[in-house]
Amino acid sequence: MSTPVSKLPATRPEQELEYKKVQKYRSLIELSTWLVPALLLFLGIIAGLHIVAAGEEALGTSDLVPWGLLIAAYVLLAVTCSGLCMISSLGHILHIRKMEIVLQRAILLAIIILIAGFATLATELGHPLRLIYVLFSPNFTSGIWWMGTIYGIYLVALVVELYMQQTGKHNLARIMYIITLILAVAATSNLGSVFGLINARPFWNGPYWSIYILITAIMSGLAVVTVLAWLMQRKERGYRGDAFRSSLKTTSKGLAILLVLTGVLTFWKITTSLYGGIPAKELATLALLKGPLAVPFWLFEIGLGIVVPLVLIIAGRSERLNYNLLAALSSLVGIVFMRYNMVIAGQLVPAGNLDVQQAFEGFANYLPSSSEILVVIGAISFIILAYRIGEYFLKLD
Amino acid sequence: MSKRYGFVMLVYRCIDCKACQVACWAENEVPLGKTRNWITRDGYRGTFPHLSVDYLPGNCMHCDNAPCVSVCPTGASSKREDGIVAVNYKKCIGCKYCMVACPYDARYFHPEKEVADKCTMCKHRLAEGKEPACVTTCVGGARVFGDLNDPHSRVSKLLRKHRHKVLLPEQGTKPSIYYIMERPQEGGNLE
Repeated sequence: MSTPVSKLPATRPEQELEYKKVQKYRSLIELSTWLVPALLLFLGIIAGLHIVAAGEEALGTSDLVPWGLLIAAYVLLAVTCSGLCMISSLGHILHIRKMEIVLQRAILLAIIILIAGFATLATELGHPLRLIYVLFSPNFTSGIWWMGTIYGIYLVALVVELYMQQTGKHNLARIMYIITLILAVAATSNLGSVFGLINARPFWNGPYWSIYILITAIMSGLAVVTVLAWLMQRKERGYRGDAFRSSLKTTSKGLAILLVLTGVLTFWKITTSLYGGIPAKELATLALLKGPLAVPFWLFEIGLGIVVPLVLIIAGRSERLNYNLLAALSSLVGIVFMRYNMVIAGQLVPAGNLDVQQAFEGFANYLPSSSEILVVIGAISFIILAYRIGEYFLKLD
Repeated sequence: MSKRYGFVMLVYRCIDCKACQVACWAENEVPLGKTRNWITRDGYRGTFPHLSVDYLPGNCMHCDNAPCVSVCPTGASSKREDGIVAVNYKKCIGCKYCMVACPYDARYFHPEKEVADKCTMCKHRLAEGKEPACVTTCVGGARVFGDLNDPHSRVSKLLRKHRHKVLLPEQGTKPSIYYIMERPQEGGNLE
């Protein structure tokens, strides 16, 4: 039986004051977690409008490097969405009970992240309707057409899946898990093929990126789910808190396996690209190893993206929650640069280079403009805000 | 048989004056800082001190197996029956996939139209029975234009008579621009 509040021993006035201070401090933090992303989203929208209005001038891209940060951000977001969906679908299909509590949340996040990805792509194209026009004027030999169409269908399927879950239609939801899993694999590998189908860019050409992007999709999905589970376990107590903690440990183990796999894939990509000295392939790789992308590659993609998270998970034996959080955050930072490096490295060596006397030496220049960076920050802020609203209104357990 | 337009470049006649570029800029209102055609240089010929260099005029290769056509998601880039690889501005969504896929870097992004743009073989002039502006203006007569399917055309005769090459044949794009690297005897003419 609980003791009536009036009969509880009176707390000392200093303690009460301290408690009020903490509460005030907490509500300020809570407020800022809404206000800061909202402000950044607003800045992102302004930057996006600037790009739409000013066109190429507002971008850091050029005719030599036509795809820049916004394409890399689209790849990042679309692939993360696929990763989240694959985790959710596999979790449901294989009945991974330890991850159950995060699976619906993963679908909500996947939807939001894909919308953010499409918004980023529409900004790059300069007009939102251009994105939709792809559906009305198809060219079936185009990798982008397949990728865009499948991702479009996939978004609809994800929304249907979430709706089924929300309305308790579990049998139909089970079918949707399988459909969205197939669509996630198809969309992601197609996104890889957008790069792999280009013969003019030896660094991209081939099946590697389809496989790589599929594996790193699951990696990025696991990293996002790990962060999410950490945040949720801080809020929740009792059984729910334990469930989040348990899923956090499971996803961290998965993350560690995929980090190793990504490291191995990266090692062989670099080695095969250098071996034999095929000029464009070798040069693009050198751009990563000791050229303009050396810092994003070594410090962020390899250091923060693979080495640091792996060390943290192993050091904490995936049991230490804060280590797992830091590992996931670190790998997410690395993944951002992983996508950036992949998109930019393939373009830094001009395809033509036809002048024998004055062959283009070195690398083409690309630096993202402030508008591009703000759009990406805005997209991430949108994800945070939209997810928090979703968490508030939807039943996600 | 339908027409198949193409260029034959008589390399020995190119003097790198860049009149073709200027003519193209004027004729097609090419934006500042962009170009639809170019002149590159081949390796040195001969031994010191008797050295010479070849200039290679170029533009979109109007490939028979054009990567830009295959990759275009909306079909804005297409290979016409007459061999011209054309861009339908209304269909172009500005995804720049064609620019990334072109092995010759022949395309540029039009900053005002916000579409990928390139050489059209001056199709508006062809419709009037004229040759492309770069051909008309070429001082040395290095750029020869015509119907590759017509055995009596100048381009066909030149290709039959002389060894020729295309650029980046390993890409498998089957370009419609051929280069004749041969030189005539002193004071002579290849034709």
